[in-house]
Amino acid sequence: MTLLWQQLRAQFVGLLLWTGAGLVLVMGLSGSTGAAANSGTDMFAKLPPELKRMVGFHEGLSALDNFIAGKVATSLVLILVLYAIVLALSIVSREVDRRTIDFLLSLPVSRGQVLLTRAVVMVVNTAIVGAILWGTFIAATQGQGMEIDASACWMIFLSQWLLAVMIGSITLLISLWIDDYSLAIKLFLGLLSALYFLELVLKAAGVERAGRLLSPFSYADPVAILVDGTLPMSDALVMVGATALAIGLSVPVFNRKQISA
Amino acid sequence: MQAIQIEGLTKLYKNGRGVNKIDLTVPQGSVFGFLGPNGAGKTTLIRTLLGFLKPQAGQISVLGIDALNRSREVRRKVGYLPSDPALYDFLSGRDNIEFALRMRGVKDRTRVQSLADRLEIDLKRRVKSLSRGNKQKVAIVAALAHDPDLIILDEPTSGLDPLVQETFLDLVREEQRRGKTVFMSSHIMSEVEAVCERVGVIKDGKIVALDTVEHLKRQRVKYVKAEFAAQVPDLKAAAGVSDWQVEGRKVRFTMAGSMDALVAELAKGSLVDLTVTDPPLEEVFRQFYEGAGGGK
Repeated sequence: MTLLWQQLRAQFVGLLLWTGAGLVLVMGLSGSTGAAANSGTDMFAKLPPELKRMVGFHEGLSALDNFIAGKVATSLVLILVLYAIVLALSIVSREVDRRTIDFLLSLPVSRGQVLLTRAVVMVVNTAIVGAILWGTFIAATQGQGMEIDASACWMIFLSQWLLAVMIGSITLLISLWIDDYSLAIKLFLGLLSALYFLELVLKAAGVERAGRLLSPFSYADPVAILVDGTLPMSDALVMVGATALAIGLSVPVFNRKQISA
Repeated sequence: MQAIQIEGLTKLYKNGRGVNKIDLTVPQGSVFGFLGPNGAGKTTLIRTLLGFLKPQAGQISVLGIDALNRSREVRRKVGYLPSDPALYDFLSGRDNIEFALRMRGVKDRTRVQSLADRLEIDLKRRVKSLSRGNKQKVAIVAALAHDPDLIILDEPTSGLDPLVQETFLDLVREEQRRGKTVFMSSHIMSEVEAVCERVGVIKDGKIVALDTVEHLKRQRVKYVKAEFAAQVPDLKAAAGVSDWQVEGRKVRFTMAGSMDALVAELAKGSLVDLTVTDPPLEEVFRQFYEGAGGGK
């Protein structure tokens, strides 16, 4: 518990900052949602087919739902994934870079305990930020009198949270080989941008889901949730499985890691 | 019982540096000095003792515990002060220490304030706002607060001002009097000489000397001063003599090896006074590193 409390405390300011920044974005998006719904026009309908596919425009969805899928969900998923990456890199990479790992590992604690406790904080904090942002968005749009499918929005949040945790866990595993924190941040933000861009390109090119299985962002598809009204279980299972595998591999890798001066 | 027992320890990095086939024992209740310049392998050995590094070969027993397989138990009984201690800067000094004590399951907090008072450090301040020296003081309190049986210090006085250095060395002496073992790496000879009974000298990853401070100093060169009633005999070519300096009827020189033959030669002259002194540890250390008698 001491280790968990210490890490929650270490990440508290970050939690406030990410939530604050996300809330600013959410309030802006909520205002735009009202404008999009009230204008009665579907802003995505005028886009060329490639861009429609890229933003996930779906003929069967309302203007409001297309806006949620195409703009709100795509913005919030980036915040959650970015936050998960930052949290993941703080688990070992930042400790090694700032040398606080010496202080931590000189205590009678197993490396596995350190890693798993901190992974729990990553899971909890991304859930808190995601829930606050999506909860605020739902409340703000409902406050404007719009009929929003709140349960679908919560499903989107759930899928995005699972995605963020999965990417965070993979980041944690890879970061065990990178002791330079600033290099790791640059590397993973670059990788994230590349993956996100890849997903957009594949979607614009009309590549079906089966062809995008290696694209992580395809596992949190808001359109599929808004159309079906439920979270695709296979996608959720893949994300949970990948998370468990990445964290499961991280423990022995961290145990074998040489902490040089 | 040995506080530390190392047999055949090898931990080499890809660049070939590290420690190679180290055998070392440190008796319980002693203060052991581990000497060597930067890059000699001091920190590598300490980090291997604590389980930060996994060796390629060898055995380590710390306080009777297999340190390679039961590192967590070892760390419960050890206090460690790194050469450049980094604490959590979002916490105060007291919170850092409190975190360490809670992790160790220690309930007694009496030592925290007494150590802080001795070192004159305000533990309420955030670590972020502390100078390097004050961070070092907080780290010292954190390393000693749980009353460890073995204290491992890696260049402990770097960053401390001379007055605090003296207080710290007093603390080391007190810990020894209380039966604790101290393993102290350093390249500052004066502090090692001040508190350590035994020293190990490491060079290029290998132990090149392992002895008491006094014996080490004795077995190396000696400084000799002699005064004669008449002319100083010319012995500068004698075996083991170097740095021969004559001033009137006085001579001073450095002598390596047995003194017997030299004293006999000196006695043939009109010897008035003879003083033989051990060199400071710095000189002994310099000889090891210049390869004069014992070095690699």
